[in-house]
Amino acid sequence: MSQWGFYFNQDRCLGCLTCKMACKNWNEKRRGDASINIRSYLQDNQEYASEQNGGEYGVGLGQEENQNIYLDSEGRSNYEEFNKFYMKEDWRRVETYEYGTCSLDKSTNTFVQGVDRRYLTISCNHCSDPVCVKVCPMGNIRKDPVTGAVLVVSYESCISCGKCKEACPWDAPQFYDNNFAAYKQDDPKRPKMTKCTLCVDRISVGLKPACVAACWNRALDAGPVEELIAKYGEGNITTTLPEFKSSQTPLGDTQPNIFFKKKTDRIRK
Amino acid sequence: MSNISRRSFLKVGAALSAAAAFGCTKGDEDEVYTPLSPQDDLVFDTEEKVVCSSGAYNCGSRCHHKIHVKNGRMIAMTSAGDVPYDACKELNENNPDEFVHDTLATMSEGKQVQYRACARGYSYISKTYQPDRLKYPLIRDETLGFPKGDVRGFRRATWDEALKKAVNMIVASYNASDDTNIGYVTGTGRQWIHYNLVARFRKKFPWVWFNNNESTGNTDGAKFDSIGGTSKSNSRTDRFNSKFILTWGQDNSSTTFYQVNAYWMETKIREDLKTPIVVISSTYNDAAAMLATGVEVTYKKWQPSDTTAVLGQETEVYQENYIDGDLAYHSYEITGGATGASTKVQVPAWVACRPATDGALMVAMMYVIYKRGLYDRKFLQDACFGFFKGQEIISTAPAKCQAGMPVWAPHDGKIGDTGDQISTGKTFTGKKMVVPAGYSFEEYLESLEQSTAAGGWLSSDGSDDSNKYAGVLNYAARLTGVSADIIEAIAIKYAETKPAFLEAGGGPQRAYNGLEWCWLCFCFAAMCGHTNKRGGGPGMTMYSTPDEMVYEERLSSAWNSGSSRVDPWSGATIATNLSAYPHTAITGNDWRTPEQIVEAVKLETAWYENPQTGESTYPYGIRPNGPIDVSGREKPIQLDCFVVVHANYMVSQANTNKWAVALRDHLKSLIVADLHMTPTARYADVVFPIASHFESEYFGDPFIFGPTARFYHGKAIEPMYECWTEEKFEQTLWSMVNDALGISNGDITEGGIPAYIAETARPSGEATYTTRIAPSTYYKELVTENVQTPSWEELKNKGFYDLTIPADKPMVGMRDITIPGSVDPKTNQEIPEDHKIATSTGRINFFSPFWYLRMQTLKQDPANPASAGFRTATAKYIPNREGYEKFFADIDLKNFTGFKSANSQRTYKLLYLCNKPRYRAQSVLDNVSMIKNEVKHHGVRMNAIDAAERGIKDGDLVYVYNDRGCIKVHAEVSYRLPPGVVSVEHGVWYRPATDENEQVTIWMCKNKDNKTYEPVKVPVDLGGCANVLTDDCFTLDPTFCVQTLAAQGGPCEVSLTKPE
Repeated sequence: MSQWGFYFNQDRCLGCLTCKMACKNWNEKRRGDASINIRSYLQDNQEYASEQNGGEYGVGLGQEENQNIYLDSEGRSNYEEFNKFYMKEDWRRVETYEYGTCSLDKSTNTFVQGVDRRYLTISCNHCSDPVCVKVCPMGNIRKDPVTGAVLVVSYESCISCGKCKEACPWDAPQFYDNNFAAYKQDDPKRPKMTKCTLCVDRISVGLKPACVAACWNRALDAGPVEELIAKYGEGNITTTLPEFKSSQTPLGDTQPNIFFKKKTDRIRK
Repeated sequence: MSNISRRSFLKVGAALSAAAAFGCTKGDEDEVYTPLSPQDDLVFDTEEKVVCSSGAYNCGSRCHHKIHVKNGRMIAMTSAGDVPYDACKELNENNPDEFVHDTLATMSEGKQVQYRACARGYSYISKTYQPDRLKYPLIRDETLGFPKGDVRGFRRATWDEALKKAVNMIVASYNASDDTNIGYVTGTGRQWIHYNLVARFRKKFPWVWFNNNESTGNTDGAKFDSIGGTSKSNSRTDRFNSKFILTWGQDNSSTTFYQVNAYWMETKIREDLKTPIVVISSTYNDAAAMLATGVEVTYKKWQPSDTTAVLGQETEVYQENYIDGDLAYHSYEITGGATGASTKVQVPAWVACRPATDGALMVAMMYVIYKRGLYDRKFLQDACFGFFKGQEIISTAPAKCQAGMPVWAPHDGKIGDTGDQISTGKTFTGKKMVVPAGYSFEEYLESLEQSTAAGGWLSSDGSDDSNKYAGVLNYAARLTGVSADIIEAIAIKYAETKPAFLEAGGGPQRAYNGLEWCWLCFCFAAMCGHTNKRGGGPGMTMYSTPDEMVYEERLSSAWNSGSSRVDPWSGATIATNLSAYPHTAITGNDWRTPEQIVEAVKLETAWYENPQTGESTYPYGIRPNGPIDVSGREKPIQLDCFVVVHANYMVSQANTNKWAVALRDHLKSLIVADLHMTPTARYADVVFPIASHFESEYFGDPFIFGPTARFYHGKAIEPMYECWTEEKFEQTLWSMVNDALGISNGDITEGGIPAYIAETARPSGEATYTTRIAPSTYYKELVTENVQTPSWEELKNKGFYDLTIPADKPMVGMRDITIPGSVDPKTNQEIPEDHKIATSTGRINFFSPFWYLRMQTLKQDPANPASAGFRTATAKYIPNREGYEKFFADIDLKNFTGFKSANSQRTYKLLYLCNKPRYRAQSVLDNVSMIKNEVKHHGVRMNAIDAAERGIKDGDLVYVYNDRGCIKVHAEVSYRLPPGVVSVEHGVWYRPATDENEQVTIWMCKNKDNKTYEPVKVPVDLGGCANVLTDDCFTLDPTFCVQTLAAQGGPCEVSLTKPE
């Protein structure tokens, strides 16, 4: 096995969410509700122009206030209806961190600028000693023998206990509805855990993970760990960032496979 | 991969759970791992077919999309980064990352090998599959009993019925008034087919045509007689040659112009070339946060006793990094100027400037350069007009510009007392011109050293008199928020670094005073001699680049769209401003006085001969019946019918509440074609469902400031529901209108409208490809003769085709055309007409003879600030209407009180900024939940200090309001904006509250006197549409001048409680 990992260059990331959007695009069919919330109107071409809504416009003429993303006067919307049809799980998460301030010098009416923004995007770090594997009572999370990716073995075997989500320092295990515990055990809609697969399907045909291939400012990379270290140079990378949560858990160090380059101070003379 | 079924997986999984609990790295690895190959759905699906596509919907720069299709449905999208990493390794042993991570070397050779998509692109499938796609034509049915704007008032119709109704409305409108009655608006269609079609069509129709565009209008208007309508900035890769990049009001990671891949190129320039980058912006955007570096500048301090520098002998010609000796930088012996001690100033990466005061900041920098003698005198004398007092020249204006538009005098007159007589409609060529007293830029800069009472920038209390230099800069600092030492440091860095690149974008120009800022940008670059240098440029990137010149033929919608229509002879239509459409629909008057409109319409519809050929030079024809006289009419401009295709002007144009009133109560008919029920479409009488760009095949050109690549737009799926493609809709509708009005097809073009569309307005993808893929002679001379163009079939597979411009052979847009006179000193050959600057002087104008003549005739009414008229004939800072100056009790800007509205009696203490969003293209994608939900806050952004003063916390629901409207949105509290400034991002859909308690009083001008504002009750907008706050009073001589909308820098307030 050749353990894969991610490389994240914070000096380049501008939190644009392209990685996250690319992930959701690629893994659309792997969302937890893929077989529950189906775009019924796309089942076949016959239904496109059918009378399924009583022959009415869109989601129903006259019900638009309730059936659309238009908000009513209480600020309520029907986002949930629309949200059914794309991936809710955030296999990749992008966070923004802002330091310092921008204030006003009242004597000159000018701005005093000392603000700094940084981003962090992480998915699953495909740890060498993953805590999610240790806590799963069903033994349903395993390491891929080829890439070292941490994978769910069987969607059906997940009992939605949430222990993996609790244990992971980075929230990598995801559910299409975070309120998963409220569903009854036998409810077919009860959300089950899904997570980043490292795009092992893409890797198997020689492509990098969707997020990496999509990052237009080349802040992300992925590859076998030893290759990443060789490529970026041991002295140029770090395994910690102030914004990256510690890998220490009550069950030990998870040994995440992610390397960083920190945002630099860059004033030019 | 394992072939065991999912069911057997389950069994194995359960059996091994105990072993797994100890961790997968322990125990018998074979036993644990062997059965645990990934789930079967983690196998790469080879059944999927990949169709290449590209951006659309006003994402002007385009990028490369790969649409994965299975069973007739789009499954997923990837982009240009999908190249096998192993294959790359083999290709590039030394650069294993060449394809995944473009290297500096490949990019400086111009090879931007991957046009990767941004987040917007990844939501296009979701847009197409939104459950609320329009599925069939809709007709407003009054018997249902709902008012316009209420979606319940529609019923389903057949295409035939809906088309007939639309045709009847257009014909009725045409017949109702003899001349001026159909407003035409188009928008984010795939290939601007509407522009092309209607531009052709209107020679038979008296259209009301908007002479502006909301994106680049002020740039287009400014360049017209300052640097020439068809001037160009340098090619994209020329950034590699710059030694200092000053980015002003632009963020390539968000804008739809340029594109994210230009940002990536700049990232590499920052990292590998260590080029300093400074961003000036009203908001801490991601160019400021992640790209910019800041810079340390050392310079001499100005002493109170110091005097304005005087330039002596030329001492040095900079030899580095320019193309020819005659295009070198020059410097001089300097007498006077700053003599104080040396000081070091650190310019931060982000220089925060108050919205719509950018012009003042630039003037202050030019003042610094002037006082210190850092300008390029020779360039100003030889290639420019109007910087120096009393400059005398003979005009070398061409008779027409490269796009074929005439460069003619708008009125009779003289430029300076000793200038030659100039006649209306005649060319300026060969005329002697002298800058009139008081009109030179030099005099303008000197006039800043007067008291504020006299129009200058020195405090009227006399406190600045002992050090006028400091006084001028301190005024600029109070106004803009940028401290005096940073103003000096940036000015000196930009003037002394050779070459330096001013990357001025679209932000600050989207203001009432944005046109003058754009003009100043051209002057700023010219003052330092950067205009025609490699690594420099003319001062703006927000317009045409020479990248387009790599191809023999290129679709350029700009020259026949509103945006370049800066002459009145171009189409025999009535020009107005799109921002003024609601006012015009309500009052018949577009903020100009009726007398001004009468004069303008006569001018616009008159027959003018080209003095040289005796023919009309404009391709779209001339009214045969002579000028239209609209005097004595109730409504000088009658707008009865709008036809809107793929546009959502209620959201994307100024003053949304006024659009609502105009569309609901005043406009007779509205025809909309779109993918979704937009807020504008809700007011329509007929709505047509249009197919998305995935539903037909075409060939994609980026906008003219985009990359050199061209893209294949594959047809990924069949048209859904009852949707028609845009071209089918256009062909059918206009053929029917043609027939109904009894105009034979031959009047439009041989073969009629369908043929015209197929041949000219929107030929097939393959036909377009063959004409637009051929490299130009220019490209072959400059770069290489060896160009292998792929076949149409090859393009389909690859998805895009790129002709690259290496950084060491940049196209310098102004290289040729800044040579004054008629002979090129290098070649001794006559300079062709189309290589001259298409201005009234043939030079870059600091003072514009064209606008000077226009102003002599069309006087602005001082008592009516809304009336039309050029504001200045000399480049200068013009305060914004309702700008920051009005937030003070005194003209010295020392007693801040906030903006006191005479109408509402409210006091507003904040300035609004409506910047372009990263997650929408204008208003497109705002209804797409997949992308919208990812953006946590999409309401109002504000500084934490302002929020604390108002008791507002991050995430609170707040009201943002001014005299024009009120939105109710979540607050995002941070330091992303400087104190006193709030931002509401452009393009969020207007969603009026239905609750009676959510109503506010606003003040709206519905009177043709343009002065009387009356209170109106309107709903609060729960969506958060920025244009609820913006001002539609914006028209500035639409006959000659294009404009964008006034999106920045007006007053507003934010509160937890609803205003009265």
